[in-house]
Amino acid sequence: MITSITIENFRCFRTLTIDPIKRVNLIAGSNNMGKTAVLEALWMLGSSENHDITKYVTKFRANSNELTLEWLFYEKSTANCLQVKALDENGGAICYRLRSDSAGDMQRVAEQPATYDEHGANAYRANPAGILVAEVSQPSGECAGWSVSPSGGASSSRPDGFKPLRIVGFAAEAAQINIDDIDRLSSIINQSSDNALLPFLQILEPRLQRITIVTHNGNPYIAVDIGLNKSIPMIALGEGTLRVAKWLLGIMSAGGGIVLVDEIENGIHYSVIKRIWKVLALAATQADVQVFATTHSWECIIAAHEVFAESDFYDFALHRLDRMSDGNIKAVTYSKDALDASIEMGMEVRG
Amino acid sequence: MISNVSVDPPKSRGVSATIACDAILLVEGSDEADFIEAILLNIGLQESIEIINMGGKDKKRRVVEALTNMSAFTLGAVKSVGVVFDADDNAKSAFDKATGLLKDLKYSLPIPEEPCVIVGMINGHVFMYFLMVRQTACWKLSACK
Repeated sequence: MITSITIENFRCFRTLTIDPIKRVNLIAGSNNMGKTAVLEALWMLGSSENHDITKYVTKFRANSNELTLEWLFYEKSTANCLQVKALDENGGAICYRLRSDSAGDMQRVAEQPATYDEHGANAYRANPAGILVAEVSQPSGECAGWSVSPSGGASSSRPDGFKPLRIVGFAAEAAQINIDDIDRLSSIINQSSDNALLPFLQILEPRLQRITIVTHNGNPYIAVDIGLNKSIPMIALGEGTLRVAKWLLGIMSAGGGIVLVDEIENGIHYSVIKRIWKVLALAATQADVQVFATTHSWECIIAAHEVFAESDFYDFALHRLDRMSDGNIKAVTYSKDALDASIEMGMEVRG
Repeated sequence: MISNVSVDPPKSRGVSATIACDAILLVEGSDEADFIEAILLNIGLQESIEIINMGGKDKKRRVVEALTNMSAFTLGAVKSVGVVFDADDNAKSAFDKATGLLKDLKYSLPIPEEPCVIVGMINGHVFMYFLMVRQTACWKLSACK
């Protein structure tokens, strides 16, 4: 489990440390404080492939095509290495680094999104002078990464047995069942005779009796039986249930890793938030997954606090991002007692 | 000014409170709140100091921790914080509790060995001093800029 994270020279963060990190982490703060950027930083920890890095990192943003590579770096300065470093409970470090030896040329290429291909590498191979290097290291010391050189294009290295941190991310946009969700459910069904997703979702939708993968005209989709004459597509369920189902599939398929959710309260009625937190907490603990979610919702924070306060172990933290007078952003982490008193006294915790 | 921060059940609260003044005084209960409000009114400082009723003497550490986590505090909008200790019949015990509270804070402030001494700075621009008057012990954070 990750116990702390330090982000350097990334987006709006010169240096940001969040410590301690728990099983479930809510990230609050005013607009433009970098809540989604924290998710993006964590997202990078799971990357060791030669991606179109800009497109990869900005998956949580709707208009990501407008963001060029230099926007990944603090104050758009590619002179310094971008780094995300997470420490585990044993003091081991998972570290992602991205650096450029030629900011100007990299910028010029990045301003031509039409040159991107699905692998990303060729986009930078066209760069006549620049070099871009990314690497991710594990607590064991193993390191994987890729680089794009001015002469020969891309190269990558990945030791045998290297396993990047498993990370699943969900943007704030409306939920749709996609092929990733179907693959995850398929894997879950294949791993056990019981559909492990069912009991979790039944807590939210008691009518649910069965979840299956059905193929129609060669196209697979997820169908649910809620006691009607025949099964219905899962997408026929409400937005909130659909989102929770996707998160659960993500948690159950990211064993030992991380699940990221942007604006977790979207589409969720306040009256069921506490039940949802119970389900997510249970699923995350069973799968040994850490959850990071952003929120603006007071009810969401209270519900998460109450669920973990009622559990045997308060494995939850609220982290608020504040912009200090010097312009740097700092994380303020609430302990159980501090959050309990804040809620009881009605003190604002969201910034 | 007595803060409208109260101890209503969280679920009944639609919004949460923010700090209105740059000086805050935490008190244990409504008696202290009324008493100090009357003093502030008498000396014309009722709009300058926000009194927060913690709703019990055992809640000091939790409330102070919550307060010092608020944006108003971390961003420097709050310049002074005081906590009133009701010493009852044991001033030494109250002093020990006050220093214990200081130890629990994350600012690593020096711990005074006696009341009425300046004990340190926070974030480079906030003093703390501590005083005890007969039955009441009080420590205070005060801006030095």
